Amino acid sequence: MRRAEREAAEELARLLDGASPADADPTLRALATLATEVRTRTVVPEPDPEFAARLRATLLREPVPASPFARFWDVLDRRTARLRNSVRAATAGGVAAALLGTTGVALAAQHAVPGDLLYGLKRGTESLRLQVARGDVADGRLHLAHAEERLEELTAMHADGPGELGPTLDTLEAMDDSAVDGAEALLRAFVETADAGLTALVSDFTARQAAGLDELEDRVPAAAVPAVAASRELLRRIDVRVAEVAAPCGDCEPEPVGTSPTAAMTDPEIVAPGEGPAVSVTGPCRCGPGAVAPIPREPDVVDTDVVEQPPDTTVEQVPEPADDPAEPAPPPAEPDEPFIDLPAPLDPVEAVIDEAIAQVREGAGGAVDAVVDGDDPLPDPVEEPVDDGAEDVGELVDDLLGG
Amino acid sequence: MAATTLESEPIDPEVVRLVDAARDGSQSAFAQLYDRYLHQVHGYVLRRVGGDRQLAEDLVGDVFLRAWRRMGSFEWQGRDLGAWLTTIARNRVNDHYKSARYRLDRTTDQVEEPAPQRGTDDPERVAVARDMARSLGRALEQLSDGHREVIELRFVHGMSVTATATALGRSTGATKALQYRALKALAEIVRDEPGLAELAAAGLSGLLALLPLAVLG
Repeated sequence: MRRAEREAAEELARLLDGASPADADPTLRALATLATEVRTRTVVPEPDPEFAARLRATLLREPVPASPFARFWDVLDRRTARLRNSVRAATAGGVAAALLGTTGVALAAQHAVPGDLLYGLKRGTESLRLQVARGDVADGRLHLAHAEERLEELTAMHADGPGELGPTLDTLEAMDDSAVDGAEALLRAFVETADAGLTALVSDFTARQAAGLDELEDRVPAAAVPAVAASRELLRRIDVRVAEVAAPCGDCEPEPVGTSPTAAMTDPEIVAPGEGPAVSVTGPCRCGPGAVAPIPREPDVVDTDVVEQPPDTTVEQVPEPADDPAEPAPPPAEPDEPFIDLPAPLDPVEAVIDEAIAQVREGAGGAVDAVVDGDDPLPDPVEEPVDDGAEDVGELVDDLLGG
Repeated sequence: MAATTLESEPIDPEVVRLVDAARDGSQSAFAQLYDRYLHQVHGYVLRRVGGDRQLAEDLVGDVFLRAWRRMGSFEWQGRDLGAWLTTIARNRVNDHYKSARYRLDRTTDQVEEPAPQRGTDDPERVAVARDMARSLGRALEQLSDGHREVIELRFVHGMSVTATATALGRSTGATKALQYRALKALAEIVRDEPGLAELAAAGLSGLLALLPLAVLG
């Protein structure tokens, strides 16, 4: 359904551009006509001439602004232009490998926290990796790693006393999103493979996060304490779901399921199935629930969608079929945008890079604007952190290019 | 201001020259940019605040002050300056309503007289055109904020897809999808709007094409 809408939107855009193919969909043609009607019949009122003159005079009296960040953007422009040019020359596989390399994130960006110039870059890189991750296991591990990173950021933000409320709440929310996404992905993988290493991953994650949140609760501003408590509650609900999914049933005997490639805790950034060291495990029997119901984000939601299968005398069960494509879930009124909105899964890596760079620039631009508007204090002296920031970004881009 | 539905604005070399000069500190260059973009920015803000001219003027002043202060620091790649200004305006309007906890009192009676159509002396055609403008205005008021905003940016203010995407903080793909959904929503409302179908039947060519929308899926 999304693809059909995307094609209709593209054709409509072409019609609005002035194309007029004979075989254009009549409904879309009607929409284009409607747009024309809006354009020709709606009047934009003129500003009051006295107001216009007054404001003009005011602006001319404003002092000329300083421009401490001009050089930052120049350096960023040059470096990202190199990245784009190299993408065009490289194969998609080659560039993807460069992007996914564990040397690909400069140290400075790795330790950025909300409000830092490079924070946008950090989140942009995370999203980029999510988009190229393949499969529930890689996806799930990335999401959990991101949730852990959000907690690290929160700890850093409150290391020297209570930090700001807004970024604290935003980061908590991002952490919760990543925790749920990661847990659900890994549990989906678990019901396919019965690999107990996966549920262990989730349980270890929730234990560590809960401990971190306990510490954090003492340091955040008072207004953020309920949110921290809610995040801890969410971890508990994740644990409940893990227990539900992993529960052995009735008289089933656990079956040895061979080796688990994921039970060992290696660097979670990118691990393809089969890459980690192998550990021998026994899985649960296979009569647990065949599908993983979503983990509720809010505590009051009554979970009516839990898919449960009654304990069965047969040892093996056919896994649940995928969602019936004839009955898609109803789309929300305003669909949520992912952090990077990619055109389509099959678009070339170049488009992925463009979007990632755009997100980075937006994040950096927002931080710059806040300083210029006076919302954030200007570092003193200004030149040094700006130059450092530019150099850090340049190094990062060089890393992405593979040196 | 020329309306365009093109994908991207063509880069105006004069604007590039003025922006470069303004970034170097030329107030007169910035004043010329102000002259070029005041109508668009003011029009956008005025519609967003439901026609409250006093409020619009205050906010527009803030927008241009911010733009001037950011001149030397913002990221300029020769892209659409109007989109950049509209982004600032959009954020300023949103901040205003967030901080004031102010529920927008939507006024639908700030419809101005429609622009005189060329060669239309016939008073009846003028009257019909005015009624249609009012009906369209009413229809726009019934849209969700997001849908109304994309239609206004694209077709009232004539911003390109790329510029609109910048102003909304979305990708061009998402913006095309949004304009598609918004026009569909508007078509549904228009279909049910009592005045428009009769007016279309009265012979105004454009709206005749809308009648098949009755079967819009």
